[in-house]
Amino acid sequence: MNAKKYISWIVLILIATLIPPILNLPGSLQYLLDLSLIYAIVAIGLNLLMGYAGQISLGHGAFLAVGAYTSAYLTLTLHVPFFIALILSGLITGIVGILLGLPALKLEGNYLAIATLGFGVAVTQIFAIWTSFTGGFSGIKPLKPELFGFKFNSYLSYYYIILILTIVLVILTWNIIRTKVGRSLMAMRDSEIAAKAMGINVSYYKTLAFGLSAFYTGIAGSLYAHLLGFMTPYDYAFSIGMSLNFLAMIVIGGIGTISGSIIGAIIMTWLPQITSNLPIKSLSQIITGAIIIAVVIFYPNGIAYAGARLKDKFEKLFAKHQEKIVVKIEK
Amino acid sequence: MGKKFIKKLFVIAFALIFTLGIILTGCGNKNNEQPSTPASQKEQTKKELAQGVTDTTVKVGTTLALTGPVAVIGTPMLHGMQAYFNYINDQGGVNGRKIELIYKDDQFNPAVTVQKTQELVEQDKVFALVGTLGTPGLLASMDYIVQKGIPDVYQGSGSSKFAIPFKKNYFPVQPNYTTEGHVLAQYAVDNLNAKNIVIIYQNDEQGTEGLNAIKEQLEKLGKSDLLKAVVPFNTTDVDFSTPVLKAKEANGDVVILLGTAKPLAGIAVKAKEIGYKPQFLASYVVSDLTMFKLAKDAWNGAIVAGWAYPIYGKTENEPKVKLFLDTIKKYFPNETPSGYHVAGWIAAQTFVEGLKRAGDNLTWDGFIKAMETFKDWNDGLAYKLTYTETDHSPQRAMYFMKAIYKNENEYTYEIITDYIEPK
Repeated sequence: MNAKKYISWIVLILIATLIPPILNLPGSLQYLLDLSLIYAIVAIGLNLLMGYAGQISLGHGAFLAVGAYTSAYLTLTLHVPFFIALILSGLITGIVGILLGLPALKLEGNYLAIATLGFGVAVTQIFAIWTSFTGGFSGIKPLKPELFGFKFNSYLSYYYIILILTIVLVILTWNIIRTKVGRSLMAMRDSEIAAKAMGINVSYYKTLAFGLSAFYTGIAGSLYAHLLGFMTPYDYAFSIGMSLNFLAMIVIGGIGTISGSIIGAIIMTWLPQITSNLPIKSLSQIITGAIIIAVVIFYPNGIAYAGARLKDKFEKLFAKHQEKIVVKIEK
Repeated sequence: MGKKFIKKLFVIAFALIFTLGIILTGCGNKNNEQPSTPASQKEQTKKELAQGVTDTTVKVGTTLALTGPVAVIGTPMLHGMQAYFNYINDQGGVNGRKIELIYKDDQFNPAVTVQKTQELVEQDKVFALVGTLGTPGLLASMDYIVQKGIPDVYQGSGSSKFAIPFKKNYFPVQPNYTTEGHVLAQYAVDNLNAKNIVIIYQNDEQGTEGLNAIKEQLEKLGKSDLLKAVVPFNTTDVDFSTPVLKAKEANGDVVILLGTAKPLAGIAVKAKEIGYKPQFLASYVVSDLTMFKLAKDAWNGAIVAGWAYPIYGKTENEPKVKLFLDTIKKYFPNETPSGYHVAGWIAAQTFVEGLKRAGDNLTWDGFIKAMETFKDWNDGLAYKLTYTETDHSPQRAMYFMKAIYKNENEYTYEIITDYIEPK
C-alpha cells in the first residue's frame, strides 16, 4: 500500500471519528450510523468469502443470529463481561461457520447457495424452539455494554466501539488478503484445479474461508444484539431477506473490495430510510430498486470502482491534452 | 453518447435524492426546533404544554408496516386512524386543536421500528404515539418509550407485555392473548360442552401465549383432563395434513385454532378434505371476512372470538357503527371496511377521548392522568375500557360469532353471545 492510500484511509478514519459529535446527530440518525457500520462488518466478512474465496452464502443472516444469541446468552445468563462475550460470539459463530463449510467442500455454485439457504431457514426455526437458549418468542433483552464502570448507554458512545472494531477488522482483512492465505483464496476462486495443481490445500482454505467469514458476522451479531436491546428469532435481520440484502451490499459496493463492502452497507442501510422520508408512499422502494439496478448496469464491478474509473477518464483526458500540446510544440 | 447522457442523469438523480433525503431527515429537525423557542416562552406565560402541542394543533405519530407482507394490515389500520382524525378535524378538532398524524413505514423490521420511533419522538417531536403496529418492533422500542415517558395509546399487538409489568405511559386497548386464551377455554367448556379439546397453535409469540393461557384457565376450571392434544405448526408451513390428522386421532370435538388467517384457513380446508368436522373455535386474530375468501365453505360453522364492536349484520345501523362505516366510505371510498380499519379507528378514538378529557392540561402527565379517568368507557368501538392509576390492562371482555357461508358472494359472521369476561 502506498503512502497516498495510507493518508486517504487515515483521513477517512478521522472523518468517521469526528463527524458524529461535530454534527451532533439526532438519536435516530446516530442509531442508523451504528447499524450501517455493523452491517459493514458483515459485508466485509461476506466479501472475504464471496469476493476473495469465491464461495457463495445465503445464510449470513443466520450467522448474525448465532452471534447475537451467543452474546446475549453469555452476558445475560452466564454474566460474562460484554467484551469477552463479543470475542466469544465471534469464535463460536466461526466454529459454526467451519461446520457449515464442510458440506461446502462437496458443493459448488447454485448447490452451495441452496445449502446455505437451508441453513439460514433451519437456524431461525431451531432458535424459535430452543427457548432455554434464545427465550423464544417472548424475546430477550441484551444489556448495554459496560467497561470499567462506564456504561455505553448512548448510540454515540456505542458507535466508537463499533468503529474501533470495524477498523481492527478492516486491518485484519487487509493482512489476510495480502498474505499466503489471501493469495490461496484468490487462486482457488479463479480456478480450483489450477490452485490444486499449485499445491494449495483447497479443502482447508474453503473451510477456513467459511470460518473467517462467520467470525466477522458473529462479531457483528453481538454488536447488533446489544444495539437493538431486544430480539426474537424471527427478527428481520436474521431472515433470508436480510441475507439477500447482505449479498446486495457487496454486489453494489464492489465484490472483492473492502471499501466496497463498507460503501455497500452504508448505501443499503441509509438509502431506504432516506427515501422513505420523501412524501409519496412506496416511492422509497421504487427509488431504492431503481438505484440498485442503475448501479449494477453502470458500475457492474460495484461503486468502489466508480472512483477509479473516473480517475482513469480524467487521466485519459489529460493525456490527450498533453498529446495535443506536444504535437503543437513539435509543429 | 446516449448511454453517457443517461449515466450523467443517473449520477445527478442519485446526488439529488441523497441531498434531498438528508435535508428532509437532518435539517427538518432544525426547522422544527426553531418555532418551538417562541412557543416555549409563551408556555411560561400561559400553561405549560408538552412537545408537539400548539394552540391549534396536536401532533401524534405512528409506526406501521406499509410495505412488505404485513402491509395488508398496516395500510387499512392507518386509514382507519386517518378517517377518524379527519372526521374530528372537520368538526374543528379537540378544544380548537386539530390533530396531525405523522406515520412512518417500518416494514415490520424491528431495527427500523426502533429508529423510526426515535425519529418521531426526537425529530418530529410528536405529543404521543398512537396505533403502532407489529409485536417484534413494539417490544424492541418499548424500553426507549418507557424511558422517555411519552404516552403510547393502542399497540397493534396481542402481547401482554405492554400491560404487565405495569407501565405508566402505556395504554393498551385490544385484549392480549392471555385474556383471550382464558375466554376461549371458558367458552369451550361452559357453552360448547367440549369433551375432547385439541389446540392447534402457530408456533410464535401469539400461539404460545394463547396456549399457556388456555391451559391455565382449564386448570382453574378443574377441566385439565379435557385437553387431549396440543399441536404446533410453523408460520412458514403450507401443508397442514399433520396437525389436522393429529387432531382427528385425538378425537377432538372442539378444535381451538390460534394463528393467522392463511394457515388457519389451510387447516379448515384440510379438515374438510378428509371429512373431519369438529367445532372450530378461533382466535380474534382471524375475525375478519378474509377467512371466507381463503377457506370458502370450509369455514362455515366455525366460531370466532371478537373484541371490537361488531360492524357486520344487526349492528350496522347503530349510530357508532354507522359513523364508522360512513366515514371510511367518505375518505377511502374504494376500500371495504375491515377489522383492521376498526383497529385504527379505535386507536384514534381512544386517543381523542383522552385528549378531550385532558382539556388544556396537555402535558404528558396531564394526558396520562386524563386517560386514567376511563371507567367502563363504551362510546367508541372498544368495549368498556378502564384504566386506573395502577392498572392499564386492556379490554378484557370478548364475544363470539359464528361463520355463515352461503356462496361466494354471501357470507357473514353472526353474533351468538354477549360480551363474556373471563372468570
